[in-house]
Amino acid sequence: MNLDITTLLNLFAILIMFYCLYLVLSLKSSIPGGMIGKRWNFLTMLVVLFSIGYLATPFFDRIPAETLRLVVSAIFVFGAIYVVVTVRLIYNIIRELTE
Amino acid sequence: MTLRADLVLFRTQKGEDILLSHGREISTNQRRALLVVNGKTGIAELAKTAFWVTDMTVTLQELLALGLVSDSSSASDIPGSPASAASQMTKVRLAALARELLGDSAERIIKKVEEAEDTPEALEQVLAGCKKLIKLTISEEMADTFLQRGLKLLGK
Repeated sequence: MNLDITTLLNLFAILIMFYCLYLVLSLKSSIPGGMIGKRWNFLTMLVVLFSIGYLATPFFDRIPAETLRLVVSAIFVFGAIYVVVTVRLIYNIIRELTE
Repeated sequence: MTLRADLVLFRTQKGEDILLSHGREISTNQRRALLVVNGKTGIAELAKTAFWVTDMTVTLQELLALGLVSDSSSASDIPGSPASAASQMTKVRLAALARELLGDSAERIIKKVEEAEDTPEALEQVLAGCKKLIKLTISEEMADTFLQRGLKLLGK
């Protein structure tokens, strides 16, 4: 296996994403519902999706360029959704706590 | 030692101190039993109303053995004022309300209520905090119901 900088970065990203997956799953039991609980399920789903996507990154050089562009675009879209959901969640929590 | 069903127990100074310390000297079940001891209600009635305390009689015997409660014959050790006893009863009712509305998810709410100071203002503040906690992490729908019914219990 060729351990260049790209592969190392990919491995690092996969590790971080799996740590994130561990965090969302371990916190899930503490948030059975409510404003956070509802969003948490969606965030968990996105983290699972990203974990699968990140695991596939070492094989990106084996897929056709057209498919690769589509996959990268999908990652960007879901990444943007993830950020929006997280920021809105923080916004709602702060608003609720400062009411 | 068998406790009479109509026996009324009081918290001793040691019992009050343990409640305020929030330490781990006693179990959660013992703490709950200690909270419902109010110097007015008999053991049988306590066992009936405080259903969230497991095996009330045995637990009260444990508290008696630990010197955290005493019976009326040694009432000189009574620390609580009537206001404090009323506040304790309100806490018990709030805990029961949380259990009724939230089921198994009520544990954190009950803990917050139990740890509140024995004043109406403190209880009202805790109630508002609990409402936020419920809305954020348990159920958006139940949050307002809990607050409204809790305020009624406080006479507001």
